[in-house]
Amino acid sequence: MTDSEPLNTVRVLLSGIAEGVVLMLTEPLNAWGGLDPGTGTIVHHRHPQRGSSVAGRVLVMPESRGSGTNAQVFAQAWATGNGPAAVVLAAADHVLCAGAVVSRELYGVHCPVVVATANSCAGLASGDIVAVCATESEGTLQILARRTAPTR
Amino acid sequence: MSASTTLSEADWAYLNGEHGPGAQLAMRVLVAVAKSMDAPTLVDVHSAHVDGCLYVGSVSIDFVRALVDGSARVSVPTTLNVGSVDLRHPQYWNGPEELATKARTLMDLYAQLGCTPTWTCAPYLLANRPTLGQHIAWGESNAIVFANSVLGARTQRYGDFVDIAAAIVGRAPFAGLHTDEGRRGQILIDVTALPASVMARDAFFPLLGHLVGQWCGGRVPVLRGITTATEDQLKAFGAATASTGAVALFHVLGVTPEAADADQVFGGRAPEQTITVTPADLRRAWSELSTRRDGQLAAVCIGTPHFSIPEFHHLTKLLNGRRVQPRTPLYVNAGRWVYDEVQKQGITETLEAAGVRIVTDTCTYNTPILPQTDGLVLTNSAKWAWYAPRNIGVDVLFADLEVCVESAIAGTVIDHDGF
Repeated sequence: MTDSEPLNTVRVLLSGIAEGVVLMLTEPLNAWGGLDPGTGTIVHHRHPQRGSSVAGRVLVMPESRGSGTNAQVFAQAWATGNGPAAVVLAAADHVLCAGAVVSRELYGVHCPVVVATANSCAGLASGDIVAVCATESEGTLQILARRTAPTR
Repeated sequence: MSASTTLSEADWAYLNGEHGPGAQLAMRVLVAVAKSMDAPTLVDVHSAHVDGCLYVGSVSIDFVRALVDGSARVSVPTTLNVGSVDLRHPQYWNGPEELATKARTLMDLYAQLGCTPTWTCAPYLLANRPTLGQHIAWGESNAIVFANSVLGARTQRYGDFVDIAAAIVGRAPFAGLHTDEGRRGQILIDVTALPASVMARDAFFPLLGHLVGQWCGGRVPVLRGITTATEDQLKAFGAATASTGAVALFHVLGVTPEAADADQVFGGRAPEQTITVTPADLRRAWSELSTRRDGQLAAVCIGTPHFSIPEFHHLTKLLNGRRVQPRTPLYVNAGRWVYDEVQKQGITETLEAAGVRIVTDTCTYNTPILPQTDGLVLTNSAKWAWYAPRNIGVDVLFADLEVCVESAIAGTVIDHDGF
């Protein structure tokens, strides 16, 4: 744990507060056919993070891609308790937001969805522990602990 | 953080529950999405196309049931995308009965909201399609990219839930592709260096779409060097761009309605990036679309997106009175409206007598229809090739339509050149 990590301002797409272990996707995820909502596991045969689970994680990803059915796939993952705890995007993704809103309306799942600049995400890696705090008016992203000490 | 969306008095009435709890839920979803899009206002839409009819899980039914129980009804003409079952040809179902029951329940609930039961992913093949400049709220990635690009109508890439919410309140967030600024070209894709023989290949448009989706993500590509293209070619291209990428609008200089010249399409600005396509790129796409090269042929699947009337004519010509091997069935997906039209022309009877299995209301890549999933499936659709391996667990080999048809007749993958 370190106190020196900066508090990064992020753009709020959906409010909520969450803390968790980062799962960093190196490529966009097409959730329909790419994410098993029954387990939260990434299953697309070509995705670099295939086999990793988004369940309870702070999902950091460039954007989701492809099908509008992604909204249902993410909502189903949240419905069964296998959705991410927070989503940090590089670009706004309203398909994913629709899934998150419906999960909030139907199941009371409050998963914050935010957009962070490349700067705020610099150095972020899978395994880091971060906190996402997003209200209607402002949002922050803070690294609470690094997975390993920086090597250089 | 942006300013929030300004709502009209009528919008507030929905939000305050004056049209019932179902419509109130719809407006709540729409407003949250409008905020995420930074939309300053909502805009009236002429029509909606709803992509939520595919059964994904309990949430599919939970959401639409909340709308139905809350007395919601659509307020604009609304078509429905494919469901998970072929209501007209239940004999093709090869999945668990429980899933079929849930899928039918979901489809029935959507119809109860006042939507037209079209069950097609290609609503642009129906009568009364949207026109240039009309605001619409469409779901289904291939339909969205076709409506924006080929028809010049205006829709965002609405995901499930939002499309039906927009249909109920008759409004959509005024953002992105609804605005002139959002429709500007961003990436120039130059195909002028490709040999004419390459561009004449049947697989050229889907392969190019596969690449453009990878290169552009959600940005707007502008194609230079294509002088003519049929709607079916643009359909195959767009579906591929929306599978590997999130492309919702493309322009083809001199071909599509908002791309008279480069100045118009780029809004007087320079492209953010220019990509020159080479035959090697297309060969890479070809190889990426196949999970396996050889093996026993299990089935041939075409019609993703749903087959058009000209495509039915073309298939009939390619078959030329020959029969498909029963052990390697040829499946064609089509909307029921197109099916009924070609049935009047005697085509469905001819094809079905030749052993072709025409699937309506759904699609072979998203639901258990294929009797055998451990062999190799041939397709000419980049979209089918992209989704089917995970969705239904098959190995796929991508090929030209002619190779698909000849292989279905031979009962084995015929010798053919790659790309």
